[in-house]
Amino acid sequence: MSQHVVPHHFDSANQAFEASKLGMWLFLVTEVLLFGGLFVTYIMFRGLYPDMFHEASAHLNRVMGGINTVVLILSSFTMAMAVNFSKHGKSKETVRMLAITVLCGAIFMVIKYFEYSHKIHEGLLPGGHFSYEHIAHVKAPLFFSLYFMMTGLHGIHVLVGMGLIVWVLLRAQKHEFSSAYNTPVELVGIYWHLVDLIWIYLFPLLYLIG
Amino acid sequence: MKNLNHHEKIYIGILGSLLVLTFITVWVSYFNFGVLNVLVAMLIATIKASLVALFFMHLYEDNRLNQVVFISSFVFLAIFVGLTASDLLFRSDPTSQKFSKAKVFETHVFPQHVQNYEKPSKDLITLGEELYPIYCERFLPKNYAWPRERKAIFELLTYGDQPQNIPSFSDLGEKERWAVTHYIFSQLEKE
Repeated sequence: MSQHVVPHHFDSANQAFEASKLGMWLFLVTEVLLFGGLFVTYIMFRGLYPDMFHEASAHLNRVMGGINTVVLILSSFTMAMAVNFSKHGKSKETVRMLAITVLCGAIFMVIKYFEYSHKIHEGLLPGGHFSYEHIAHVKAPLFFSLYFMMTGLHGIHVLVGMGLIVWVLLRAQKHEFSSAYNTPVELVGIYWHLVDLIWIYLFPLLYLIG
Repeated sequence: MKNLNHHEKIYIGILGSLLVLTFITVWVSYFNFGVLNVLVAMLIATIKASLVALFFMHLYEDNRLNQVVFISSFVFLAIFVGLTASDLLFRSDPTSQKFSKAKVFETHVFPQHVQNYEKPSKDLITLGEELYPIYCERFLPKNYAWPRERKAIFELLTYGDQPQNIPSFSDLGEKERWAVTHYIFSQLEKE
């Protein structure tokens, strides 16, 4: 088992952990505001064109969106379990839970791929590519611009998260984490939960305008 | 189940609650509460997000500094939404988009009684001449075969021409589209 060394400018392992975690929370604040720009755009345009949003939203696949929601919630749960196992030095269980989390992320992206390819095929890609004719409202491409930008930015976050989880998974396999040191698992966990948290808002806002 | 520790039991409880709440969100979306629809959906989403933040992200047992830091992001988001909404949603006609081109129009103040833009006038042609290079020129092919009728040009500018890949200029106001129409027509007459 390789031993983690506390950097010399910290007094204790706990101080080092708390400093890293504060850094992660600050990063998440910037993430909330990054997505915030898109959410503000969404709110303003929905306020201006409520009927168009209603009509356009019906063209999204609720079932796929719903399955993706369940998949992400499950992955958040397994991630929380992985963090908990890593804290108790249970490497085997940690690796298993992280593997399920990555798998859920992959399922999410595969479903997203099918959704995207179907939308692109129908001609719902916004801008000059928009050629869908079954929505009467002239501003309908606006909804799909928001749909692709919001879910696209979120999808990039899922991919980054999957990469990070694979990284901590490989380290957990080498028994690097214990009650004395599991900072990477904790922080990747917090990040992954934020990705879930954003999807919790995206799902009703985009798919469920009833 | 009995060899689960305190945290693991909480996680299973949260997982169950989140799945039930997801089901409820989908279920209520089939009912129509009018304006309340979006509020109900956001209320449920916020309960779910709070559960994730408090228990999965451990914010509940985290130190006060981290709690304040994370919550502050939503305070700033609220300011962002609030100030943008106070500007946009209180405009007299926010969907007309004329305000975004206000600068161009300030120089062309029309008397209030002039409502009929279909008739060409010197002022309209001058306005069209100014608007055309800014908003239209780059979207139009060089030797585009314009219809020889003002009304048809106006409709083309309004709805676009899909086969020729010409977009709709409907984000310009009615007056502005007529102005461009008269300008284009005056150029056609010169040819």
